Amino acid sequence: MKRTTFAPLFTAISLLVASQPLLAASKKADARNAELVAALQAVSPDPLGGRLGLAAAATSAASQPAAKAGNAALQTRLNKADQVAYAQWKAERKS
Amino acid sequence: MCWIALAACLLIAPLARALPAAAQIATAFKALDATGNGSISVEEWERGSFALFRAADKNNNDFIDADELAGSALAQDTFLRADTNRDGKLSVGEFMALRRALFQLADIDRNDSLSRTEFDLLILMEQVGWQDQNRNDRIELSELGESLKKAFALLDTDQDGHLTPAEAAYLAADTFKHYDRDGDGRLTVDEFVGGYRHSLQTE
Repeated sequence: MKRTTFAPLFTAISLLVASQPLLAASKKADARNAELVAALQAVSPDPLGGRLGLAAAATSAASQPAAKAGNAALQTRLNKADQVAYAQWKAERKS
Repeated sequence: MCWIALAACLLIAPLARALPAAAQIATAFKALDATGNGSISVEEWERGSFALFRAADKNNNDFIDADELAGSALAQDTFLRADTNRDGKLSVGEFMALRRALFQLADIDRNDSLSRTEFDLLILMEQVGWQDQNRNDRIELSELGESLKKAFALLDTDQDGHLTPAEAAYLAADTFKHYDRDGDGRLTVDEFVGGYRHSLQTE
């Protein structure tokens, strides 16, 4: 009877102890990320790249014309890949 | 003549103030260079870009809306160009396409990584811009020279044809010294442009 009563408690305590390193790692990742953003914003306040970004946006690397069927399909695949990678990046920061 | 000099200073001064100090550029480079190998890889650049996207996406809806981008008319222009599906917001894909284009431009030696010199130039050219004279979507050394001469003129706040360490405070002290070929403690435009070209060719 006592074993049955205390088992869930022991399980809960074990899980809590085991999760501490993960929580600490997550907080560390958040802090590192905040430092990275602050450092980048200090030297490059415009995430779109200022005057160079304006020039970059006009290059073919950044602006594939959606009217071309082949490019539209490729662009959709690339956008999807970026969405997946970004979701994974966000999840890594939460876990 | 005094008011002419004053007007010239007022027009020119903004670039000198707009450029961050060398220590800040070093900190940003180090923050991006997660592996600490002295260069920024495509992956490191992309992870940094994700962080910037998340910071800009204040309502966390996975889009940067126009009103989340508290920017200048220049930033708004770029926003419109980068918004390739014209839905009034930047998706992760549209933002990353722009960030990859920026990386490709900054990667002047085309080795798929950004050296410290290339990163310095990226920061500089965000302010002075660049003209793709041969329309090949890459920065050639000759085109770089034109941007650097423009930057030199803007940094040379007293318009004496030389850059002092104070005028070129965004350059690390050892870099300034390295570029100062004649060792007179100031840079001519030839030393400034030549220094960058030499660094890019030898890195």
